Amino acid sequence: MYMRTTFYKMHLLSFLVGCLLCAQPLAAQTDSLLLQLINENKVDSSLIQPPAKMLFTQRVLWGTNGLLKNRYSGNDLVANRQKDLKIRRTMLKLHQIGGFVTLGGMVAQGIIGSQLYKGDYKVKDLHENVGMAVNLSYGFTAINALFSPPSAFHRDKKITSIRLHKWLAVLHLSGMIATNILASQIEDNASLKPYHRAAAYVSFASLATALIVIKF
Amino acid sequence: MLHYIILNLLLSVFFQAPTYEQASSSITYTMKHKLHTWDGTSKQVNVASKWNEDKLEQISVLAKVSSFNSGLSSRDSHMIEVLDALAIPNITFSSTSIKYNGAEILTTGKLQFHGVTKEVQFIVRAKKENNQWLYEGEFPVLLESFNVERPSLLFVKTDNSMNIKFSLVFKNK
Repeated sequence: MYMRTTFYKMHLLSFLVGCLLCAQPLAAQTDSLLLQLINENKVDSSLIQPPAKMLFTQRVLWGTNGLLKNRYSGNDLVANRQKDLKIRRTMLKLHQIGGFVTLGGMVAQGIIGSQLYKGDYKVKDLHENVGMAVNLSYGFTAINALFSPPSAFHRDKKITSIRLHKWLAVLHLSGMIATNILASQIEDNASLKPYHRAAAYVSFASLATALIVIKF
Repeated sequence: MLHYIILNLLLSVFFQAPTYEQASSSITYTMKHKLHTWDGTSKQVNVASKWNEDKLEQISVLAKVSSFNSGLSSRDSHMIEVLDALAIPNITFSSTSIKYNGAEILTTGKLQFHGVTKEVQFIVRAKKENNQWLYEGEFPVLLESFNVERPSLLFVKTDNSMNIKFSLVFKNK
C-alpha cells in the first residue's frame, strides 16, 4: 500500500513539473533550446590558429617561428588572428590595385616597345622608364600576395580559380625575369629582340589571364 | 486524474520525438556578384527541437560560419573576415511561432547573423518520406541590415541580398 502511494505521488509530481514546464513562455523554451546549442559551440578553435599549409614566403613572416612571431604583445589569440586577417585583406586589396596598374603599364609598354622595334629610337628612354615602372609595380603586387598573412583555410582539393591564378603567376613571373634578362643583353646582341618581345608577350598574356580566371 | 497520469505516462513511453539527422541536412547560401554567382553549403548544422507527437513545435538551429564551404578556400576565408567569425562564430535561428497549414508551415523566429538579431518569417515545406521528415525552405537576408560589409572582388561589391536555403531531416524512431 505504501509503495503504491509513493508510486502515485512520484508520477503526480512528475506530471506537475511537466505542467509547470509547459506553462513557461514559449520564448523562454526556445531560448533554452538555442542555449543548449550555443553552449556546445562557443568557440570556433579551427579559426584561431593559422592553417598548417602556407606558402614558404608566408611562413617566413607569419609562421609560428616566423620573423613576426612576437608581433603582438597581448595573449588574446582571437584578437591577434583578427588583426592578421585585417592585414591580409589590406594587402590583397593592394595586390589587386597593383595587378591592374601593372597590366596597364604592360599595355603602354607594348605600344612603346613596338614603336622601338620598328626603329623609332626616340622612345628608347621612355621604353626603359616605363619598363622600370612596370617592374616596380609588378614587384609591389607580388610582395603583397606572397607575404600576406595566411588565409583562414586551405581546404581546396580540386583545381580552383585561385589555384589557376597561382599557376599563371609562376608563368608571368618567369616571363618577367626572362624579359628583364634579355633586355639587359639586347645592347650587345640585337638578335635577342624577338625573344625579349616574346617573353614580354607571355608575361602580359599570363598576367591578363590570371586576372580573368579570378572571375570564375 | 489517475487516468490522465496514466495517459501521460503511456504517451511518453510509446511516442518518441523524431531524431535529427545531421548527415542528411544542410544549409546553403547563394550570393551574387556582377561577375558570377556562387553557393556555400554547410553540412554541419546543429539542431535542437521540441515536438508535439509528430508535429515540430519549436526549433533552434546553429551553424558555424566556418562550416560553409563554397569550394574556394580564399572566398570562404573572406567570408570569415566580413562576418567577423572569429568573434562571432555562429549563425543561429530560433523559432518563436510555427503555424501549420497543410504541408506548408509559416515559421517566424529570430535570426542571429553577424551578432545582429532580427525577426524573420518564411514558409517551410514539410514532406514525409520513408520514415523521415524533410523540412525545406528558403528566405532572403539583406547583408547590410545585419551590419555586414559586403565582400568585394576586383573592387565591385556583391549584391546586398543573399539567399538562404535549408533542408533539415528528422527520422522517426
